[in-house]
Amino acid sequence: MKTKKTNYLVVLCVVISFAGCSNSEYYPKVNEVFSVRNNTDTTLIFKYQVSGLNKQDTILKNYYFHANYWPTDDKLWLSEQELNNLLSKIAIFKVENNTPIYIHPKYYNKISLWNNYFENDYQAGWVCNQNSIEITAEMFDN
Amino acid sequence: MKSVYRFVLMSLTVGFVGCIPHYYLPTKQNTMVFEKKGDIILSGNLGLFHRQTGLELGYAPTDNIGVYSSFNKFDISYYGKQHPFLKDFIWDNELIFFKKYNSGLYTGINLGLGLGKFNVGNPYFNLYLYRQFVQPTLGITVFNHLQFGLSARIVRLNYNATSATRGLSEYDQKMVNQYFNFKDLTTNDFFLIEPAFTMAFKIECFRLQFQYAGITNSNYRPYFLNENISTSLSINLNKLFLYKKSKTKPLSNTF
Repeated sequence: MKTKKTNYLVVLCVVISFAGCSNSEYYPKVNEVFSVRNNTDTTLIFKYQVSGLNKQDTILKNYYFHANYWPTDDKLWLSEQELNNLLSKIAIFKVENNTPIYIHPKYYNKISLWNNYFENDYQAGWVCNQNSIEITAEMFDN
Repeated sequence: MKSVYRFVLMSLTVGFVGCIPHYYLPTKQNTMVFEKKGDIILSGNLGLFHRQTGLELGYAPTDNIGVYSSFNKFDISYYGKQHPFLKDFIWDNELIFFKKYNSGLYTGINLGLGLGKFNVGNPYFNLYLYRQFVQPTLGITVFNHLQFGLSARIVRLNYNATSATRGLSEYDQKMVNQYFNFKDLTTNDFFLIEPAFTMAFKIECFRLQFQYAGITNSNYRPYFLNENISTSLSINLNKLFLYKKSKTKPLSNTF
């Protein structure tokens, strides 16, 4: 019985080895993920734009917010200019005494200010660019 | 049982590693191809992995010198399918110095120049490979029909990539390198050592060959495939031609 199981396992693995890598016949688009971590001691409001629509979300203290973007044309990834354009439409603020206090865009309005990590999952057929930034209390002072 | 698990692990590793875009494969080494002046060799080969096929043609104008051309196509750059027949290829041209001794011993040295291209016809980049190599061979023929060969290809490689989209920004260039798994591929020259073990069966003018070739010093570069197993079937056209001319004698006695 044990030998039978082992044989099945071996056959399965050989099949995986040979068949598991059918080549991807297309070029997957790069998913741009923007992750904002709230490292302040208060709730933040994150305003952004998706497909021309303005959206707004709250980011609780010590939590992350993720926004995803893909190129909508035939390009594989968004260009630096397109990314900067998207980032320029972001606003991050906190509310104190019913007054919004904004973080200066100089902290996030260029893709070069974000930490970038490129990730490929060739098996699943997706490609992702992880862009992350941490919002700290000090950013409100300047 | 331990060896079974090791095999399972190896199979899975091969399965997963195969799915990354790669830009080098230790293609079949041409060992013990010529025996004497006038040999004309036509060969077709088939790799066990990566849809590798090849066509080769060689000629020995003297008893010790031959020229050999081999075209190997395969499928290792992973993304896209722009050309119906050709994805990746390496075309090698070799000058082969060889000597076959009466004892069955065979020595040879191949000097080769190769040109390759990857992901042919894709709309994003043109990636060319240039390789120069020296390949010493030591072989032996036993029982008249069985051949064993050890060889090592010492290779210098370099790549040239041009973007199909002109005027890329620094950011886009970085994305090209990441997306297509180029990394430092195009900024370095590479020196590789590729040992190979060859076993062949020779009957009359036909030769069936099996070969394992690997890279010993790739330093786990993610864009190189480190191993290859190939089979090939060769015909010595000179022998075939002579055989037809002297039908009164059995082929093995014509030489």
